[in-house]
Amino acid sequence: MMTTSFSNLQSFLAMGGYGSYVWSAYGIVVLVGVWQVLRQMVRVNKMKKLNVWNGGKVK
Amino acid sequence: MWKRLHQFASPKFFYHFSGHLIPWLWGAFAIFLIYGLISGLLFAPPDYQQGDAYRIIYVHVPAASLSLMVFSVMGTMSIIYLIWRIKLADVVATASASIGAWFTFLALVTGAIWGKPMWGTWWIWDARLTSELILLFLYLGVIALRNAMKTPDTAARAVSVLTLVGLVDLPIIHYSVDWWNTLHQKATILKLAKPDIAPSMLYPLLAMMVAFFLYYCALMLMRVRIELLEREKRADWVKNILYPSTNGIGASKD
Repeated sequence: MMTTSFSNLQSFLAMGGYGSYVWSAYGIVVLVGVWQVLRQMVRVNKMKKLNVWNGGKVK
Repeated sequence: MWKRLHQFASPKFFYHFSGHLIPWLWGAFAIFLIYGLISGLLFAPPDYQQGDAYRIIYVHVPAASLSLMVFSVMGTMSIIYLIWRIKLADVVATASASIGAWFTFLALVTGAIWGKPMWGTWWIWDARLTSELILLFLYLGVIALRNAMKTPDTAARAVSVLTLVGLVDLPIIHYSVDWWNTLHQKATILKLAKPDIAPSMLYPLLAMMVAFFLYYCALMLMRVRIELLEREKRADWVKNILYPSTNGIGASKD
C-alpha cells in the first residue's frame, strides 16, 4: 500500500516550512480558475435574461 | 472528410456539438485533477534539494505550458482565418486570448512565489521570465487591439497578423534556458527520451498538465458558445435558443 509523504495534517499544511508559498500558489490558481468559469456562467444567464426581457427583439 | 470538416465550421453545428462535449470535458478534467492533486501533494516524495516547495511545480508548469499552447492555438486559428476566412477560427482565437492571458499571469505569479524561497527573489530579469512576461503583453495587446476596432472583420485581420508576429516569442521562451545563462532550470519533462524527473513526481505532473488542458478546452468552448450567440444573434437558430417561447418553434436544451 502507498504511504503519504506526511505523517499528519499539520505537517501536510506546513509543507516542510514552505506552506505559505505552496498554498498561496495553489490558492491563486484555484481563485482564478473558479472565477473564470463563474464569469462565463454569469454571462450566459445575463444574455438569456436580457433577451427574455426584450421580448425576443434583437437590437 | 472535407464535408465533415466543413460541418464543424458551421456556427450552428459547432454550438450544438460543443454543448454535448463540454460536460465530458469537465468530467475528464475532474478525474485528472483529483488524481494529480492527491498524488502530487500527498504521495509524491519531497525533492532532495527543494523539499516540499517543489510541489508548486504541479500548478506552475501546467500553467506555463498552457500559456504557450494557447498562443500556438491562436496562431493556427489566425492562419486558418487569414487563408480561408472561416469566422469560427476567429471566434476560437478570441475565446482563447483571455484564457491564455490568465494562464500566463498564473505562470508568472506561481513562478515568482516558487522563486522567492528557492532563488531568494520574487523576480529577476532573466531570459525565461522576461520572454514569458513579453508573452503576457502580447496576449494583452491582442485583446486590446480587438476591443479597439469597431469592424469585426478588420479587428479579426489585425489580430491575426499580430498573433502571427507574436508566435516568434514561443521558441524564444522554450529555448531561452538553453540559449542564455538563466536562473531558471533547464527542460526536464520535455526530454522525452529520458526525463530528468522521477516517475513518482512525473505522473502527477502529467496528470495536472492534462487537467489544465481539459480545463482550457471546456472553458474555451463555453466562451466560443457565448461569442457565437452574440455574433449570430440575428440568426434563427440563435433566436430559438435564447427566446424559444416568442417564436413558438420550441426550446433547445443546449
